[in-house]
Amino acid sequence: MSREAEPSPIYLDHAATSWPKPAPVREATLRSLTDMMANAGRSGHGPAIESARIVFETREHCANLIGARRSEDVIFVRGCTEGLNLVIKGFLRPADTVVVSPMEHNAMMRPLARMATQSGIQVVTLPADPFGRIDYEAARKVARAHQPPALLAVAHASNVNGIVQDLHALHELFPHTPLLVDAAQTAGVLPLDVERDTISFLACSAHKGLLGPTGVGICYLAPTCDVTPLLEGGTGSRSESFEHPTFRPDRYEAGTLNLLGIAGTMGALEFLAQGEPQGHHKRQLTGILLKGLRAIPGVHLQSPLDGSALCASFTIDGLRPDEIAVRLERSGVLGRPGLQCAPAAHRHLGTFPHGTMRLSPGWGNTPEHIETALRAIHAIAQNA
Amino acid sequence: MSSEQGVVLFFTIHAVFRLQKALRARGVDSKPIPTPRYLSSDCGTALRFSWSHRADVESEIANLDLEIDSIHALSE
Repeated sequence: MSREAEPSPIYLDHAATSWPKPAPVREATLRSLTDMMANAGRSGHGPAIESARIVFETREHCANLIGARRSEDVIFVRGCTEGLNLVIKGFLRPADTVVVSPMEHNAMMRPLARMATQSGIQVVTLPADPFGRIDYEAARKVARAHQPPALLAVAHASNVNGIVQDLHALHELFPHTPLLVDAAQTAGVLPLDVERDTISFLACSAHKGLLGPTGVGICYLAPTCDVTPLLEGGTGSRSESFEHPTFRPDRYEAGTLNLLGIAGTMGALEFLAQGEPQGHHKRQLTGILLKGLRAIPGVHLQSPLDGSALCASFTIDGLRPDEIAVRLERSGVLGRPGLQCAPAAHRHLGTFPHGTMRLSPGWGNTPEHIETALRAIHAIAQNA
Repeated sequence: MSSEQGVVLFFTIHAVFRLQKALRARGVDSKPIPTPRYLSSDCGTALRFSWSHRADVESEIANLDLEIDSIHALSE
């Protein structure tokens, strides 16, 4: 029986995770499975030392990517969520005040909510325009009304509608407050420089804009900031003592690292180093998408049309986002409907509780993919 | 040229590679080895180098602001 090959889906869900992974990621990951890869830094024999060298080189690449002067300030974590938890739970003290944007992901809001319940921290949300971009004039009044907060905690770009916050303006608003940047949507996409942008803490995953595997993230901790670790345990160092090491990176990396994921991340960073950050490509495709969506009757945009958005969020009259997603998938287009784990953002946009349909282009997508998606959305809106 | 070897003991393997990278940039060979048991009970990794480069090693440790445990001449 002959069967025609099904066309590949058009993957527009890069804000959730990147796909496909570049060849160097697959090759580096496979090598770590087929070659001998011992436990990094544990046993002192050759394979253990070589594994530790892969960890070191990957850490150095990560430090270069974000402009960190010392690579030991870059900590390997399971993902952006763990990095944000490390900073929020390890840096804040009881009754501290934290300032956030209205567009935060639950990876930020849930640990803050727990700290509010357990430690009495106060969370203050900055005023913003209808798309969620911080209104710095209005925010100045908030800054004057409060003592300097203990922490500014902000998503660099929204995972819901792709808006990008101005980190420099934010720092000028609160010049004496450490800044925690959730770079889940911007690492590998927009230039990041923790020194230039006076960022004290930064967290991101490897599997989104960095094009690496899942299960690995990095968390930058400025050398001047004291953060209590989330975990204690074996580190391969100071093994004679029950006291956990105080030196970096060991202090924050108890237990065996995800060597498979770190090897794949190394492949991704080497691949990315050959090209420009993907921001221009993402913005170009998102711009085509948003302009096309604007022309479709019944479609309402939740992302700005000024060329700055990194993804497109929209609704269609008469259809819930999950219904749009099901119909789009039948047309071979994959995106993400609903709240995208960011209910705070949807409350701000006025799209809570149903959310939006999000399409997020990325590496591997072409303008033809976007045109195909637009034709499908046009047909869906006509038949709503 | 002396064939005597030296070894730097560290608190973290991360510092081993930082120093090796800096020494390589200076043209100085070095090699990570298991920490000799008679020098430390720790399970870590040390960096072996030619004792004739001791000044280079100490200079790079200072340049990098590396926290190390100690430096030793290796007994035969």
